[in-house]
Amino acid sequence: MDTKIYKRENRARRYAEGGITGILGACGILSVLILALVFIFLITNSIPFFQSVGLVNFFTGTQWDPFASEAMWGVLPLLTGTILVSFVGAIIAIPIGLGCTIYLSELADSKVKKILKPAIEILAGVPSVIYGLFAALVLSNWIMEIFDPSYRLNALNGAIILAIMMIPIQVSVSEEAMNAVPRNLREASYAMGATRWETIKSVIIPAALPGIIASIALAIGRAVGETMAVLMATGNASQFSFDILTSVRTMTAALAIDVPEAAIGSLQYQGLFAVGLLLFIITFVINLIADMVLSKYQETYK
Amino acid sequence: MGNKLIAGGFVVLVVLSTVLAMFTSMSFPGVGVLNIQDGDELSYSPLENPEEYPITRPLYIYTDGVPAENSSLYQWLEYIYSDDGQLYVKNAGFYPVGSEVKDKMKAQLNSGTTNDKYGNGEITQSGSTTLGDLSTLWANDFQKKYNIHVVLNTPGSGTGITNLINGFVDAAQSSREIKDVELESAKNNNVNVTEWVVAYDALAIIVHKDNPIKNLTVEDLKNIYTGTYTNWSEVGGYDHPIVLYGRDSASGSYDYFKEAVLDGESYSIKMQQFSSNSLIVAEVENNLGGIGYVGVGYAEESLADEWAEEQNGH
Repeated sequence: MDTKIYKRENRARRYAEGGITGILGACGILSVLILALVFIFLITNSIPFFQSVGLVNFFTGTQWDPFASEAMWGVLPLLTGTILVSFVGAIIAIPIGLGCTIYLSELADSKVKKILKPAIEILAGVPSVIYGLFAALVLSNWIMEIFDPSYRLNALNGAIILAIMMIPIQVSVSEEAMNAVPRNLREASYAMGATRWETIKSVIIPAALPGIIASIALAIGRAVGETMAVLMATGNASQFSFDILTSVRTMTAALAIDVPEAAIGSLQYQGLFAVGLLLFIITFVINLIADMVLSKYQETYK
Repeated sequence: MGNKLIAGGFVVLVVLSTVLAMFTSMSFPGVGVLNIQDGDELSYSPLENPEEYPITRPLYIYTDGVPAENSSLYQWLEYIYSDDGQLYVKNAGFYPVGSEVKDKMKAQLNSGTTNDKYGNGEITQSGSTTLGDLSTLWANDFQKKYNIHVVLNTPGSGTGITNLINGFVDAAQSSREIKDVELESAKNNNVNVTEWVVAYDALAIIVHKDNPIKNLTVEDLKNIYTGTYTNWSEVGGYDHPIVLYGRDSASGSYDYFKEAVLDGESYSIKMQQFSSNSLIVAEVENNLGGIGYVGVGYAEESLADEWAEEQNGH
């Protein structure tokens, strides 16, 4: 009798646990499914555009003006806008982020660390429109005073504000990687007579390098996808230029501005989907790189 | 927990000093408003000679057919053409419709119902940012007098019209005429687009207050905005590059200016595009080489003192 009850309970529990596993698994699959659906949605909507305008036109045209009487479909000005802003942003963010990470994980005493770390986390949670406002109203005036460009809102302005937004992401991911370097490696280094700086330079950074690279890739991915702050900061003129002090329009800004204007199903609408697809592929590849670097080169210590 | 608090305080401090920095580094010196020259001697200011000013356009409301006589939308249109409604047009910085147009619109309103789907509940209207302030004034007064609520949103004329075509709203407000493409897609969606001219608006051409240029011809403007002229010295001003400011493609002003001034040619790719009139004013105020086009109400509001004096001195 006892054993029977025990068995029944056991079976009920097994069913319940199986059910929970199923539900959680469905949640996991759902996110993959959504990713796949987004991709399919972008492709099916942009295929008619590529058929009528052509890949060559899209990738070599230097003018983007979908609403002109003779529509121009060159994605290059948008692409260079995005690349210019994100990569200059990355160039500014990487050294600062790296310095910040090294300080936080290796040098700062625990009191300072306990204040700085949450502060950086809060920085990551500030809505991007606030950064945009700061860039448009304050930062632009400072740049005006230093460089005196003819465009008050320009790519540099966007790059700096993106750098500020990239630093917290970079720091939190790469700090984890540095913390994961086991204690005995450091101790071994000190035992060999290495100084603190030598230990950081030749032991800890190389050991944490995959994590650091991944953090940079993630931060760039975030920058490429950022819309509101760059839209407000860069002045939104879709010109094909590599000059850091002119106004540019990024792919995200073009999407945000032009989508509500395009009639559903029109060529403009499909063209914007093509831009969306390109943007999706770029961020996807960047994230993929981050992931591959992490899983392939991250050394595991036991 | 305590550390989170300290960190929070730290961030608040940073934010506060940022806000302070914003206020100290922002300046509002005001802008100058150009006259449009027509021939050798005549030039018209949008502030002083609105009737003759060449860059003046009608502002529209679009509906799906003529609403039935007892519907809220009928009352809304009737209110807009009433004396009260047209008084607000002046208050908002626009020009009221003339009696001829007004009679025509009233006749259209009473020409017999073509759409009895409009009900008695609240009204939804979407579209032009230029018409935003005026519609809000109307909606508040209308609510008081008729006790009918009007829900407004202002994503731009193009988006408003698209919303009407897709059946999301009762009416669209627009600062440009509906396009043929839009009429076609309206037909496909069984929307019988009906046009109501509700006010007139001049597009003022604004420049930095220290810009010595006072007059431009429409031809000059065209050359400036298509990118043919890139320096103020080409129209008789300083040797300083011209920096173009305009609205984005969702805006009716963008389309109107392109048709009326550029003869349908494309804007220069160097034009910076903004989503509102006031952003353009703010940029032009702070850029010696800047030029922009905005609704005359926005230009009047932010006219620099020197320019206002000069206007009064005439």
